[in-house]
Amino acid sequence: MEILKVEALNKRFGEYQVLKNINFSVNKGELISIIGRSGCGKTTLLRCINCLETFDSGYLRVSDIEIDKRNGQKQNNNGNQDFETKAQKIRRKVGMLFQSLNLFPHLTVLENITLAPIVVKKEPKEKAIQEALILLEKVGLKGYENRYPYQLSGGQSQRVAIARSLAMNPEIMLYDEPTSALDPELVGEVLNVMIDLHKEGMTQIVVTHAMNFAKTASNLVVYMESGEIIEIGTPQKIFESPNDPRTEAYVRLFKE
Amino acid sequence: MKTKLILNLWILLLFGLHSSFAKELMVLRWAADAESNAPYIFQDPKIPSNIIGFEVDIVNAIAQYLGVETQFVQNQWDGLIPGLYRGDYDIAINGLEITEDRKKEVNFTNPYYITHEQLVVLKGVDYIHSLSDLVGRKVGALKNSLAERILRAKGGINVLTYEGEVNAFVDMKNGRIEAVLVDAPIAIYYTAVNPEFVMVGQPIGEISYGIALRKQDTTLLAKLNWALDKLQKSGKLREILEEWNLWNFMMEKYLNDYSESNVPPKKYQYFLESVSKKSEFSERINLYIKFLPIFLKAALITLGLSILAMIVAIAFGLIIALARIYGGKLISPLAVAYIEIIRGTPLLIQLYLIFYALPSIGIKLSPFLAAIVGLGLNYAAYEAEVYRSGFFAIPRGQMEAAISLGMTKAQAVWHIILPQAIRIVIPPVTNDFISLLKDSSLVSVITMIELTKVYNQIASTYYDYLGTGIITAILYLLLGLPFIRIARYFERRLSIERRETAKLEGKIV
Repeated sequence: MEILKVEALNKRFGEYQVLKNINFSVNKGELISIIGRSGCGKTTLLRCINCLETFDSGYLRVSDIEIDKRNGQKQNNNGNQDFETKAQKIRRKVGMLFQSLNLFPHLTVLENITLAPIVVKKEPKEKAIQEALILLEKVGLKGYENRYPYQLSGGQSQRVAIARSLAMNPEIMLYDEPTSALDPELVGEVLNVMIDLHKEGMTQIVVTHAMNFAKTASNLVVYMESGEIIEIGTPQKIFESPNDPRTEAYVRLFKE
Repeated sequence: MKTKLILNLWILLLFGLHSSFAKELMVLRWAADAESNAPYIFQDPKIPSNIIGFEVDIVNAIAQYLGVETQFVQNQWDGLIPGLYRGDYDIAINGLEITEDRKKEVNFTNPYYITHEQLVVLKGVDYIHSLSDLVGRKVGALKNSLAERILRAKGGINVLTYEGEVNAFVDMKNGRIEAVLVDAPIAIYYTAVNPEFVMVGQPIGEISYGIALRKQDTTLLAKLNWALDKLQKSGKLREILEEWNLWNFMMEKYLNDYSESNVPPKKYQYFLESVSKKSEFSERINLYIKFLPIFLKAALITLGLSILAMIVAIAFGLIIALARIYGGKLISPLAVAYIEIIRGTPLLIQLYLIFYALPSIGIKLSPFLAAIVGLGLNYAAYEAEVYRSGFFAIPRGQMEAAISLGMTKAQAVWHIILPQAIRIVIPPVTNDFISLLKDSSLVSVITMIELTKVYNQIASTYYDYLGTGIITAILYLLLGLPFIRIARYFERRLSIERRETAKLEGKIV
């Protein structure tokens, strides 16, 4: 079942076109890795899906919510208002994890997780706490609920951040280089959580430089270059016998 | 008919509420600046909470004739006439010379005192006896006084003007000017207490003091003139002036009373006795101890005023900061304009506008409220900028993380950005409070009697600016000290927290 669809999506930063005619779709339960050189537009694509960025033209559907800008001129005075309302709805269905560690430093681990359910979903505090404790156990951090973010390691921070996103019951999880700020020995504990989630059927899109993870854990791999999707395929296809010479040139960098 | 009624109501609202016919039969509210020195209106040197002076005696005598109570309202001398139209009081009496310019703004009663300008020089100066001797010399006078006009009209005199006569006399003592021309009562009292100065030469010019009141209060004017007339005819006015050693040849002519003086100048004597014995150290200490309750009360007013103003500044500053950062194209420029206008104009002007200009559009604040609003709105502009720097110190990722969790921008600001920003801005905001505490001295221009005003009043009564000045400075220091400690505490806590964060981020791998 198709849960995310992107069609003919274009985005500019001034003169510079960051995303050129992006087309791809994701089925429920899939784990997609997006790879490519720095500055190829993969992070921007992720941010467009989460509506942290607007796009200039194209079509985006997340679950049952659409943003349609295919006939370019549709923007009227209500355009922005309209986008914000839809963006809000989309963000409720999408969780996002950032590269930088951005837990809320003035709140405990538990408060970090329960804040959004209480404020946004108006959940009763008791219920939010119960769910948060279950999620903490799931990411392997039982007993950490009263700590403050500055008392956590980078890997623990990212796992709490995942729990914080999951507390909103997202249909899709997006990860923007979730492990690149971490020391190498901490990378595994974060990726393992993602693999567990995959087993449970969570739809996930990961922008990553961890090639081994992309190769072994994902259903599909997307290779991007200069704002374009060059190739989409199974990990085997992309890493062993890519169609496009540009893909081949990139994956060869990791073979030695 | 109906429109006329509404019109009348309007006129009543604009002018009538505080005009004489509403209040005249109960209380005569009169204004003066208690800092204006002997013999006009000043604090009783022995009982500093009492206001005395020959003008006080005149007001009380008039009130007696009219059968009303009196209520004293303190106001800065410059503000006495504007204050009439604010409606805070009904009459102003404080050495106000009857001039054509002032008559355009207010009505004056008949003169209650006529006197002249008097030259004062340092003892031993034997070459100055008249206006002509001043040509080519530096001479001091009070700003906007008859003395200044006379000196300028003479030509060839280098005229320096002063806010208060004490400054002029001190400048003469220090050799910056060679003579001072002031109203005779000032000269009589100042030279009596400070024997290093002497009066020289003939009386110069003629100056009449009158009671000022609003143009529209014609009934009150008639009543005051009636009472003044009684005062003159009964000999009461002469008695008051003689008690204060102010009876002169001009008053003899004005009242056509050339009889021998028979009233001893007991109030003049009383003043001299209480002020001139100040050289004894122990007596001076006793004096200061006597002042202390007045100083402490004023310090409390300063503190209360400052705290309330700071609350206004913190709350309103936050709104301005939020408007500036998140207001978008429409609201954000308004916030910027507010900040720039407030920071770019003097607080003093803002206070005058709030106090004297707003009533003309129907907003009349009490002095206390006006002081809080004036200081608060002024500091709000500065606090807004402090907040803004606090907001910008929060990494952008915090806002993005909150929004990705489905929060609205407002929810994110309230739950995530604001709590973090506040902790950052506590030390600078506390520092600002300490400077507000000191700036609060400016509100004396809108009739508030706070610490600095009390200092000026007491210091000018005793011509003692050093001792009382030190007391005042110590009080300001004591008021500010706890807040300096608070700022330090939060600064230290914040830096410890940051250090710990850095340490842990490095340690736990």
